[in-house]
Amino acid sequence: MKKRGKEILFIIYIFTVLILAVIYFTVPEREIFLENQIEWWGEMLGVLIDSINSK
Amino acid sequence: MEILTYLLINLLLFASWYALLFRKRELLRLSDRLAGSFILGLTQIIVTEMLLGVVFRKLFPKPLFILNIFISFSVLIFALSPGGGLGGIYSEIRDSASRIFRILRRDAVLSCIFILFLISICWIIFLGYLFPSYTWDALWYHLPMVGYISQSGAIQEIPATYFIEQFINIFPKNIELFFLWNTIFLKDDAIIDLSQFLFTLIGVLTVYSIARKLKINERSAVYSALLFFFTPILILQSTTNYVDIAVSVLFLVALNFLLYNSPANSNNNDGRGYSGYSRTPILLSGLATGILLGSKGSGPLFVIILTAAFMTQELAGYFSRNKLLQSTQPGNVPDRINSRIKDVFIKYLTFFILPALLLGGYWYIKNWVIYGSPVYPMEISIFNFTIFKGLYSGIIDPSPEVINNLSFLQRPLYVWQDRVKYYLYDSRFSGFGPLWFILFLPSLVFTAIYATKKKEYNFLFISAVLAVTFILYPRNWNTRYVIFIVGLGALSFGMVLEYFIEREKVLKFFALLLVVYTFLFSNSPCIMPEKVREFIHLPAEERTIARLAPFNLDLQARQEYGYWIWISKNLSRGETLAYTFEPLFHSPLWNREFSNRIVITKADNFSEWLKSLKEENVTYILARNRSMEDKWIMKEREALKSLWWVKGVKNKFKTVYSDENYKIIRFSAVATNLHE
Repeated sequence: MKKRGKEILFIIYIFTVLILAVIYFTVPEREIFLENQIEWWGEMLGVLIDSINSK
Repeated sequence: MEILTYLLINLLLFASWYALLFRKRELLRLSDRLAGSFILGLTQIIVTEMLLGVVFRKLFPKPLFILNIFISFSVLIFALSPGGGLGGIYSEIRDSASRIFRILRRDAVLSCIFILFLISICWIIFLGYLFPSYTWDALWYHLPMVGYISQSGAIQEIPATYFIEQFINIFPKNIELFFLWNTIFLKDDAIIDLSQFLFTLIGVLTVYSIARKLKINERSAVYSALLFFFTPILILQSTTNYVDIAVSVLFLVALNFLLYNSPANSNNNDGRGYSGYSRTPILLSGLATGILLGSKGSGPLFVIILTAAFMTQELAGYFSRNKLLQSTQPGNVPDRINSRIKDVFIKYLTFFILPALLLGGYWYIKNWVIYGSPVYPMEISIFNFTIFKGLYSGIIDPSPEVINNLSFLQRPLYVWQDRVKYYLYDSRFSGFGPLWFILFLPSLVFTAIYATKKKEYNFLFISAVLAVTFILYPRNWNTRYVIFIVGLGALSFGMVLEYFIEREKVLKFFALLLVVYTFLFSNSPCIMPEKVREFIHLPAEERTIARLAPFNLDLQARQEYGYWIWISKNLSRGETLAYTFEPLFHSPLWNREFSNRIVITKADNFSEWLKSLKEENVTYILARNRSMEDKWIMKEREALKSLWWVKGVKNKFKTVYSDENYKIIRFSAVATNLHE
């Protein structure tokens, strides 16, 4: 019985986590945020490749 | 030589306090002794700088070095005196490290998080070293405080001609004294922006330590500590000369040491984690509170809350002990109450509030004496009754419209969703990252219910203190002010992890995903990879803010870059730069060493101005084109031209730099003065 209660609690917890994850990753600003970060990493990749090539 | 001096003094300072706390190893955990050594070391730094700067007005490298060497040697000798000794220091650290590594080896997810943590701290150190301090408030007032103290060797008020100078005078400066410590021996500001990074590490250690006191197992405690680190604002501010991490971490440290006073720990099996009659943890908590009090204007709020927390503990301890005593030895209860109250007050006054006031109270008392209010320029009123008069009744900077339109509860929830296009060191609309919003928030709710049901008093105590502080903190939606609340989230997650141990794989998987996300995406547009490449190839003296042209201030500052570069290249020790207008920032008027002087020289007429230039031993003048001073200089030059036939006439004003907006003029007081 106790174990079952714990299972239910866990499901509720995970369910909440998933809902919050959906809210977090679907705010309108997320797309631009990710684009900016991808741009940052694109530039970083370029720098890394250049420095490897120059050696 | 400078690097050697810096390393030597720091090694001796922190090692001596660690050796002293090693005597308390039966009481204090290793993590607490490390945090305690940091607090005691920082206390020594602040006290010695205050002594030299306020009392003797000789806050220069040599006296500071000698004084600290003397104190640290004295501490070390005392630490090694009979009853002390260092036997076992190495083996304890080795055993603890190998225990943590064993935990890491057995847990692949934790190992991954730990590796990402190590990479992050290397990256932070690299960025801090490579780039100059480029953040808005750092250049505006945090670093000018360091500059003004460095140039005069005194901690004193400066002439408040412009708006910001008033704030440079009134803000508490404990953390700025630590910034000063990180530049005064090195004679270079290369690592000054890494000062807060040390607080970040102490924060990680403290979360671990609190977790252990809450009886969270070691592995989950390591999870809590490392996840606390993966907070974007914590990562980004670690390379800035702000004070927000320091404030939040000092609060957590003070709270951590207060936990030793908790009656809920009195039946610990190993005897650790409960101070009993020892006053050391209370003293360490008091010192951390004192440093915090003198770090930011919001310090008094933390002191009040920590005092309330201390008193609550004592009250709880009294009732639990009294209950026990009543059942075993009936006697005169009022006498016992009186004696207990006396004990508590003596303990509180001597070991908590006295050190706190000694370390942080100076700034408020000084403001009270000079400006008539300890919290000047804030006006403090309760129910329309003004307690302290001031210039402003609230925070000067207005809140954004979108925040004003939300309710008290909605504001943080809105910001915690990270509704931003990028992360920035001063947050505003950026939250605490996905770990907080997705994993920590539900963990907080869950553990609050669980701890209430299971009567986990220590957790409830910590939660109550942190939650009340969060609620009372003005503008708590601005995440940088309330970083401490992430500590509570991380602790809650540690408890959740332990509770759902059979299902921990799922939780660990989520945690790892969000850590990877934070690790990859906590980049600020102020530091772009191309700039990293450019700066790596530059000599140290060329790595300037003007060269960096950071996104956060480029638009407002680009017209200043020219003279900033000239100053950083040309102004050397002993030179005095006079500025004649309100500069965008004061900080770039000093060189990298903070070894030149800056002064404001304003006058109604040329003769008076000339007199003040001579009195201040000015060697360079920074003036705006077409300003009054510029016109005076031009006129003087024209007048001298007409005296070409007089032998030995020399112009005292020589333009050495000019651009569209500004001029720097070399001033020579010995040249001919037509006005004498």
